[in-house]
Parts: sequence; structure tokens; C-alpha cells
Amino acid sequence: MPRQIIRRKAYVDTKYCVACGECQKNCPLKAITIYKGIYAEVDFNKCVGCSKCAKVCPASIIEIKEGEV
Amino acid sequence: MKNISKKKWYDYLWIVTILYLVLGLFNILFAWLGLICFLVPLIISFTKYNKVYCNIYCGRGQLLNLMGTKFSRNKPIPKFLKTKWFRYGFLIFFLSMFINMLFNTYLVFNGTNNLREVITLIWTFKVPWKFNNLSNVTPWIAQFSFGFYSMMLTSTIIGIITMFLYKPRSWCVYCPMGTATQGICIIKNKLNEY
Repeated sequence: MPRQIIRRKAYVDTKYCVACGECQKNCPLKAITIYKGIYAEVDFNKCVGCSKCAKVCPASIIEIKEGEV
Repeated sequence: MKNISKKKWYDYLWIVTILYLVLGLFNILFAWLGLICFLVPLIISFTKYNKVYCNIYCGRGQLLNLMGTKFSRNKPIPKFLKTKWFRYGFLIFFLSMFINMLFNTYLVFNGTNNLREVITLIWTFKVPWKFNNLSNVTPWIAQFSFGFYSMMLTSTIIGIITMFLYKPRSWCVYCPMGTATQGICIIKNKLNEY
């Protein structure tokens, strides 16, 4: 059975995202982009779940959850 | 993990925001420069279909961030402030106040009203502002300055209050310009789907 790696990642609630870009600016791994000026999108391959984006998000809509890789 | 990226020229646009507010206090005609903050994000969202102005160039956002490092309570914003109803409702309210201000300017332009040297804060409190010598200025140009500066100062005050109460850039959640530019991007994206 292949080993499952559980990693913490940032999840954006796109319904409430205002695409202000604060998370993108603060992400140390440049894992966040603003999708067509509508919402923030996280590249799960880069995200390590450091929660910097969640701390600065003015709408507090980024959650750090554990997910399988 | 520290973000060690070098600061660029646009990281200092918060100075422009402070300059704008200070210059406006000394000469109300500087208020006209605020149109840049209105037009640039709209032009960018209409032509490039993104929110790069909010993301990178917004001086007010940078200023709130900077002040927030010292003065913000860093609490989550109440849920109702981030609902579409509130955000678009606030945009409509802001636009109607803007149109009302344009109408007042028109009334001065056509001679119905005289120039009122007043700054209106939070759409309610009227502060007499007779420090400028506006005798050489066309009255409607001065009237627009008072109206526009009132709007800019009001939104800055609201931004600072929510910066203090919640997270530094809480203003961005319901900023009318941000809502408008995001709305434009959403509509453009939907049109592209068809």
C-alpha cells in the first residue's frame, strides 16, 4: 500500500474572497495567484500550509487544513 | 519564513496617499488628483481584466497595512461585511453619494447654488473649510474638489476605523472600487464562457 503523506495546506473560500492580493503578496513560496481578478487560487504543489496568508487575509477566509498529497 | 523580496517603487505608494490627504488640507483643489484612484483601477479592470491595482498599486491599502502593524487589533471581520449583499449594497450607496456630489457640482455650475466651502465627513458632519483663497477658481471646479475630498477623507476614516477594529486591510473587503473592479472581472469572465 502506498504511503499517504498528510500535509497542511491553505484553502480559500472563493465565495467570500475579494481578490485583494494580500495573501499573494505575503506568501513566501509564491504559491498563490489571483485568478482573473476574481479570487485567490492556491497551488497545492507549492503550499506548505505556513498560514501566513490566513493571518493577513482581511476577510479571514483562508483556512489551513490537512490534506492528502 | 521571512519574505526577503526587495522593495519596489510601488511599495512606497502609501506616501502618495498621505501626500494627497495632506495637500488637500492645504489646497482643496488637489482633491482632483484623487480621480486617478478612481479611474486607474477601472481602466485596468476594463482593459486587462484583473485587480492588479488592488493587488499592487493601492496606496491606501499599503497605508492601512502599515498603520495596522502598530494599531490593528487583528480580529476577524464580521461575516455580514463580507457578504455580497453588503459589498454591492455599499458600492451602490457609494455610487449614489458620488452622483449626488456630481449633481451638487452641476447646481453650482449652472448658477442655481453658490459654492459651499464645506467638507462633509461620513456623509453627515459638515466642517466649514474656508482656509483656501478660491476667488480665482471657477466655482464648480472648487465645489467638485470639496465633494470629492469629502468622499476620499470619509472612506479613509472608515478604512482606519475598520483597520483598528479588525485586520489592517479590512477596508479592502467592502471597498467600493475593489467590489466594482472584481464585479467587472466576474462579468467579463462570464461573458467569455459563452
